[in-house]
Amino acid sequence: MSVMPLLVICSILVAGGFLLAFLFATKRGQYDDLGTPAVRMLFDDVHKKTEIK
Amino acid sequence: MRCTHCGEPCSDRSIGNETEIFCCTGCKSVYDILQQSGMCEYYAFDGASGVSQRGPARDRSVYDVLDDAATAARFVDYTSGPITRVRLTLPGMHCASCVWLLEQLHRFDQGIRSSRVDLMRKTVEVEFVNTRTGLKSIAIILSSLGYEPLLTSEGTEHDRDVERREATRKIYLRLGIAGFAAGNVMMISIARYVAGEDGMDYTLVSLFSVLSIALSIPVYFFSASPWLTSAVASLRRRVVNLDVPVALGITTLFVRSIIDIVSGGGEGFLDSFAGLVFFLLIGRLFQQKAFDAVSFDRTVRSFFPLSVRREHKGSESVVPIDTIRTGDLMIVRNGEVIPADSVLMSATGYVDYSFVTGESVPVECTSGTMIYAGGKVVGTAVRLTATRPVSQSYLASLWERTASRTPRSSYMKLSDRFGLWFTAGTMVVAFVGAAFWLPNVAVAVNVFTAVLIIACPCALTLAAPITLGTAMGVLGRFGMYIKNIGVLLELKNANTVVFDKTGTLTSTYHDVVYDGTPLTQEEQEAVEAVASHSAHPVSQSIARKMQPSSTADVMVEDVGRGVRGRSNGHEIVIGSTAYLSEILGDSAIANGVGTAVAIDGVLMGRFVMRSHVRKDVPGMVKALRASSLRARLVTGDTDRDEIMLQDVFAKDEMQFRASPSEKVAAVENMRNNGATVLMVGDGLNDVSAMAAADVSIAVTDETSTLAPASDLVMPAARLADLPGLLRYTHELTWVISTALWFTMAYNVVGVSLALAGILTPVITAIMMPVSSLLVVGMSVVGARLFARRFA
Amino acid sequence: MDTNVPLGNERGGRVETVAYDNNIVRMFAIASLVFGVVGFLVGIIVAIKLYIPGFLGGIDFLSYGRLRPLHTNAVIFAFAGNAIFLGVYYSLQRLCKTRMFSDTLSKIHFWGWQLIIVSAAITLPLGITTSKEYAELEWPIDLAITLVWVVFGWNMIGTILRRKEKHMYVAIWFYLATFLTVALLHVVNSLSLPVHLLKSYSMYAGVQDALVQWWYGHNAVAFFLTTPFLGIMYYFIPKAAERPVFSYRLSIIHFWALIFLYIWAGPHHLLYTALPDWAQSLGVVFSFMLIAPSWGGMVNGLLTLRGAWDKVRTDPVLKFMVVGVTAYGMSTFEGPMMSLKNINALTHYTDYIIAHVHLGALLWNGGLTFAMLYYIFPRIYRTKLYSISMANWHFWLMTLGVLIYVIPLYWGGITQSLMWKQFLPDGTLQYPNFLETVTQLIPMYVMRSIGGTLYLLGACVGIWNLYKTARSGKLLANEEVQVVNRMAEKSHEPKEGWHRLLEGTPVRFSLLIFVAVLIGGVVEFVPTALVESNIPTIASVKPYTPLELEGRDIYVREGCYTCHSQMIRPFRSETERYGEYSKVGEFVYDRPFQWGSKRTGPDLHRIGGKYPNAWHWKHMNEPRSTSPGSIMPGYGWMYTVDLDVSHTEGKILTMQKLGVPYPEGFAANAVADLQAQAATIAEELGNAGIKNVDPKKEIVAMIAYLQRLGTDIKKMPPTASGN
Repeated sequence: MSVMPLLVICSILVAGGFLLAFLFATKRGQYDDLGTPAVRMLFDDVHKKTEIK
Repeated sequence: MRCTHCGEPCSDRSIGNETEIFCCTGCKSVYDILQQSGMCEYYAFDGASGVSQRGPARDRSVYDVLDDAATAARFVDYTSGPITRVRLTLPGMHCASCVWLLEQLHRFDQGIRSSRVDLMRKTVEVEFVNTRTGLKSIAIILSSLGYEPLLTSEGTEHDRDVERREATRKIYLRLGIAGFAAGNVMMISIARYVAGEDGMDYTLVSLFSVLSIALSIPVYFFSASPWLTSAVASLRRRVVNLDVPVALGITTLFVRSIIDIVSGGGEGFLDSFAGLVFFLLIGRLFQQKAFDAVSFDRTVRSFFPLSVRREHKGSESVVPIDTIRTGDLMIVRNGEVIPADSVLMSATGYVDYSFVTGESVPVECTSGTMIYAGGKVVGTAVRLTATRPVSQSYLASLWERTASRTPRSSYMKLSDRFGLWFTAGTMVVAFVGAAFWLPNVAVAVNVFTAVLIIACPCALTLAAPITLGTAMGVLGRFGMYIKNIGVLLELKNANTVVFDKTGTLTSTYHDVVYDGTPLTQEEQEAVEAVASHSAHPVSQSIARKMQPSSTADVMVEDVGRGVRGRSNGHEIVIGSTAYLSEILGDSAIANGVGTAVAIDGVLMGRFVMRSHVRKDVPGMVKALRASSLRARLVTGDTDRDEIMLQDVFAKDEMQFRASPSEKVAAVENMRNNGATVLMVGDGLNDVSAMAAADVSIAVTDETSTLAPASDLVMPAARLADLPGLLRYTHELTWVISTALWFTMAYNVVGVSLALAGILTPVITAIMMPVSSLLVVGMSVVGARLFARRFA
Repeated sequence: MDTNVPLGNERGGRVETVAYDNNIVRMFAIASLVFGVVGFLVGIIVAIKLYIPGFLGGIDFLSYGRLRPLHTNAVIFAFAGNAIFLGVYYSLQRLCKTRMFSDTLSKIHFWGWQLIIVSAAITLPLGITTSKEYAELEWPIDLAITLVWVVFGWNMIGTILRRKEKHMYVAIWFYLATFLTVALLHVVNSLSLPVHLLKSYSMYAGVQDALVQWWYGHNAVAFFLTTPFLGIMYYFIPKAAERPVFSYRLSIIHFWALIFLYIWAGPHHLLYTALPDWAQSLGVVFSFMLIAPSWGGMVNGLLTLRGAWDKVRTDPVLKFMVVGVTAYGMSTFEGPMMSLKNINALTHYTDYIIAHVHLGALLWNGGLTFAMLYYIFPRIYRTKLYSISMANWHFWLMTLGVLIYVIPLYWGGITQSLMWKQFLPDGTLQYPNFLETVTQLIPMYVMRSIGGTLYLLGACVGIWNLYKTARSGKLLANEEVQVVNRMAEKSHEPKEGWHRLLEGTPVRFSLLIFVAVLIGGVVEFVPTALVESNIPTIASVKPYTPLELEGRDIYVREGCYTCHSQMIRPFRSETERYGEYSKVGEFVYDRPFQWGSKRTGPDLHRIGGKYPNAWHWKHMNEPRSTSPGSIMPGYGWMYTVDLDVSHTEGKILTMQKLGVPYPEGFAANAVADLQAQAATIAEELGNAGIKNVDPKKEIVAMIAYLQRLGTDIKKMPPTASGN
């Protein structure tokens, strides 16, 4: 099954990429607050019309 | 009728208009602000979810102190050039609307660049242009929106937060790497196990070997480092804690696997290795999370206000409390905490020491009385002269003495005890086993390592932290905060419970008992109506009995002495006997006690204040006795309440008028007689006794109570759960020991396999994760199951 | 320090005005709907062809074998694909609080993708296909896909880097995973060597090809039809329900667990095939583990609606969501179950699989897509949904349609499978004639086409509803909103960098080793993988003759693999029916492999020599003449069209490049060889009483191929058999 190494390596590469992404995200504090983001995304943006003078 | 802003019931529609009504002017003003800013969609998310603004309006001048750079610095995250970011704690924040509003702060102040909320920690980060606005105006905006920032002289606890954040992140990183490696190594290993000896061609085998080694290296050096370092450290201390055998197991697992693979001796145990570290880290995560939930490492400063009013050359100014010097004249208002030991200047004043002593009834002080820091002024403002700077107050020193104690953790002891025992045992077995196989060195080495591997007490290291960590988290949800997981084990051992009466067994809300000529309904209402207009604690208690239904007018309050008013057509006078004797011109009255009341110039009777036993106390004490615990009462109070308590405790179980030192003596004495003492106190006055006891619980009405020496803080309302809590600790240890016995059995099987020299990677790969999983499951489920009772 | 940082504008704060691009959203929405209808329609046509073989007459480009790939491609890449982009372009802008990175890229992405779809709609009916399921498109289109996909990723990542909100909401992670993984899968699976513009041969042969294909096939489902829709779920359910996701922490765990597991589950599509056992078992283990994260996600989605069920009753958006997520739960339970070897033995090759995938595609992908559209249209058109009741009608037509579709097929699948395995006491098959097991299914096939029609009807109602909604409002092409830039300027953040990410020597050191090993691995193994990948393991297995090769290409062109497998599993029921089970060594010259995944007709791996040429001649023209009741269409055009031999030489050369051991210079006289073999076949046919056969016709090549199938292994001493 000599195509197996190819698949294994490709898969590991992708997974490894994601691992780095995970480490980086954690380092950057992406996962410090796992509560507020879920709430924050609920708010619709303030439209230009309703601008405050 | 509910308040448009906070949704609390309103007594009338007096405030607001036909569409919006408000419970108080505070709520209305917040609403108005939002309306002006066109931000009423605030109410769209969670309805009328504002913070109720009832109670006396905050005096803005308390924020003046934030102009003081040094003070403000306590809240600053960082400043760079014109940009400053501060972090404030807003206890009022609670819902989606809060998040929405507090992240719109820039709409209220041009200087604010952005604000970011952490709903869980109830903090808001505000980034602003320090040339355009300042901390003070931000604080004012927040309070005008109904979010009173928590401004204690401790500041926002940056260092500790950062520390914790980093700790948690570290665990996530370790978990990520371990999990990733475990998953992939497992994939590789499964492939090789099912492929068998020559089911796979060489290129693939070698690729897989290289990959699994590459994946395991970070796991050993990074993910597993906590145990390695801890083991080394403990050996340096000439102690063998539980991490030693763990580190030993991990290392053997890792090194032997690599040797096996490189020498072509086999596929190694790397999957078990990575999986094991992964599970160990999960255990760590539980601990960390539980630890994050409570903050016991507060300093005394967190109970002091940021600032105090100082009168200097006739002019009043708000200054940071640290600037108070001996001899400074301070003005402390209703509800504010006295920051420094001082002497009362005003004629009279009421100080509530429940914060410090737990004594429920506010003390009436007269001019010249020595007043201790930590007391809370009740009623009218008082003027004080500081006798010592803040840092040297009796309170602070007491705190230093008690809080500096290194917390006993029998958990540590347990770990150390087990560690030595375990390591020794394992070593012996390993050597014997190896010796048995000699001279066949190959097998001997194989067996030796196999034993070390399989005997690795991972389950042991998982069971306790996960069970206790889970328990800690659950209890936290019911307001019972535990200092560290070891406390639970301590509680289990307690066989004598010592109570301190004041505030512990008795409610701080005191009843006012009227004795004298019976009052008619409308007379009573009139009295309450008048009383409700005075800030005096007694008046407040009188009024508290019923929401005044009738209104009073023509009020005259002689602050600190009495109050006069007209209601329901009656002339009402309430006040000290001295006060009434003046009004009614009858000196005879003067030599009475309590608070007298006169209607239409006739002395009707007196109000006597009396605290009472919390209703659930008798049952609770019975329950304790039922579970064969001894209950004692040691209190510094007068025996005026003995009658009240005698149906709870036998005479010889009660000890009154005990000075702090006597309390300590009592506790020591019990311990010398072989008792393991659980001290249940409520304030700083119990501190030394708490310290003397094996384990201590502070019962509080508000969580902010000073409890430096206590191992556990529990709300007074939960006191009835004390027996349950103690039983719970027993169940927890049961859960742990079951898990332990289980793994022991498990290890015996494994070790015997190892000794027989037939411990193959496959078997290990199955045994290790299965045992870990089972232990994790048992611990979590067990801890949660038994916690049901508190719900 | 730097005083030149933006101090915010006159309104104070770092308030910035951002214009969300709603036009691109609208475009993808329309594309998704239009192609959706096409896909569903073609689906119904092929469904009808299963019980009326002559339906739409014997026109080659409307034959079942050519339309079925069109149907799958249209639904997966045109309908679901555009839906994904619609969802991403709508939610990503709002989650990142910024406009898409570049309007130009957005446009290129949109038009490029539609161009690809159109070219697919043209080439597939023309029989221009690689025959790799869900990757049928030929190499030039594959290249185009790669380019457009990169544009999409570029645009998305650019947007993320420009975001004004610090936290990356979990949905964004799902989108990223989709982009990266699909890119890799597509490239690896599409590697092939072109013969000419419209024909190429796969880089991998036989079992290798199968493995790569199903590694792709499975992950295409995982990362094209699952992760992006999970992202969509995590954005639109909370938005529509106006309450935060049940557990955000769980959603994060859900994501990472799914990512680390999914990629390994591929091989479960090849159980009992010639794939090595260990690879199969691996697939099973990981597929099974997938239940955990999948259900974690489903539960998280549904529990988000706890206490909001009254909303679900009234709000169409939530209705569609709930049904969709529930269907996701069902399919993700079914999947792992079917990956268990013994269950797989029952369900594989049957209509059970068809039911399974349609449950997923029609309810999970379809349901979420329509939910999304019902949510987005009123918002970007600044109006209300035209008709709630119409939406409810759509909902019920959809749900009912799918039920009427899947239940009969589940039933039929199991029935047929059991019939295949049914033995008589004397040890012979109870239904030796495959046709008996087919005729059983006709009623189910009818039901299924009705169900499909209902679904299409519902879709049309939905489209009308959305159309009226759009008309009643006005598109807000650029939605101008004010956002606060919460990304701290670099200069103000405490320095964070890769070097600090890897703080602590051990980590840095070990991670470096890790990376080094990977690079080393790639360098060392990839070439070997591709070169070594075709060393014959059975001596008697020889390359195809030019005529057979051409015949095989016709077999591929006509999509015979959509109904016939070429993989006999090692079950007595199959060896009894078809003969010796398939060995891995027999496929070393198969580019692409033709194992197939569905047995509407019998397996063909041992068809060679089973019937005389004459039988095939009659059968291919009018199947029912030889096999009464057969539902196979006739292939009349093979009798009239001359075999195109202009590329034969090139094909041989290409095969040689790929390592197929044709003798040196064989290509030169390939055509001669071909004509010689054709002549002999024509002659044999003549002897069999079929007069004036023109050896130049395609049918001759077809017969040649069919007669060669699975015969090599018989030419060797039985002792050496097996691999």
